[in-house]
Amino acid sequence: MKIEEQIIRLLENDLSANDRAELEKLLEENPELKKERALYEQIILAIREKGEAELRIDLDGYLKEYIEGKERKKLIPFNKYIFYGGIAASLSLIMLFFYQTKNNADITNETPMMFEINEAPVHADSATLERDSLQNVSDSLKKAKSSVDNF
Amino acid sequence: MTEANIIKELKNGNTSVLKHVYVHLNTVTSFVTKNSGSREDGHDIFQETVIVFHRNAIKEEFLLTSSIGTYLFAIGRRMWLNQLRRKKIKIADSEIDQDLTAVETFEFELPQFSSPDLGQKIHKILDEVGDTCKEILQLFYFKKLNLEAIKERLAYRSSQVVRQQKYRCLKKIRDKVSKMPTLIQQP
Repeated sequence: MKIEEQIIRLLENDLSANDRAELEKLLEENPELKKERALYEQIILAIREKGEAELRIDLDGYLKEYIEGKERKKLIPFNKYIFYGGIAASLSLIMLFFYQTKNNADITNETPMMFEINEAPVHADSATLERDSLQNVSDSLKKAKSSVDNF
Repeated sequence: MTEANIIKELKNGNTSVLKHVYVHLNTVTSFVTKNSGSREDGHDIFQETVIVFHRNAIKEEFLLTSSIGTYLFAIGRRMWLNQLRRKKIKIADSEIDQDLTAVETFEFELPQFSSPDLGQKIHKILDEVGDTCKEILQLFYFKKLNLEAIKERLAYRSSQVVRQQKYRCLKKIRDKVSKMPTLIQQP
């Protein structure tokens, strides 16, 4: 393994205790290697910092989104009476609609039968009544005439 | 989404789940506004709180012993109190002494660069080394995914190939940085 790779693994805590001790001793003795470690340390730090800088941009978006969402909710406050009243009104309208539709369907299907069943007796009854009342009138007139004649 | 799922997704490198922690925004903001801060201060503190939460949640040893809300509040509260101390603004002692035993210790800040503009220069180099290098390095060092997970995610043949690729990318950056004069100081 190259010394640079070893330095990187040292910074990542990825060396065995023995290798670590050996490398640290080497770094103490060699200022150039020590400088190399400092350089990689700064590069890794910059990578983390850049990641966080990009995350900050995303977080600004989340914050904006959250605040805007809350403000939208504030504009239309939740009112349980309006909410449940709305549901009740909707249900009533749906029921009324179905009731009306059913009635229309019944009328359409049964109208001929109703006329057939109801109309005849109604006509028959009224005709009988009319005939009976005419008969009664005629009888009364006849009675009255015969009484006049007898007199 | 459950709190356990949020932690799990963060450990898998999915930072978009952080949008779910914004339900706790008001808790932190209220603390700040009640203690000499503005609403904007509260939002800034919350954003930093989420960064610290992410930084800790992706650590292998991280174990959440309280709810995410309590954890965020503890971080935010301590951050704001530190900021007030720096500005030398005094608030009631009871606030400072309040104990939040449910919360583990957490890392607040990254170490500092040896020279002020070195970070910016390496950021620029990172943008120049190509998307593959940038992605591998960020998945490994920022999102803390292991080599096996990166292999799966980026469809590499083996984790050894990922390790080699990562090494080559770091070396590429190192060579570019070392060409910049007097940036790295002796530790």
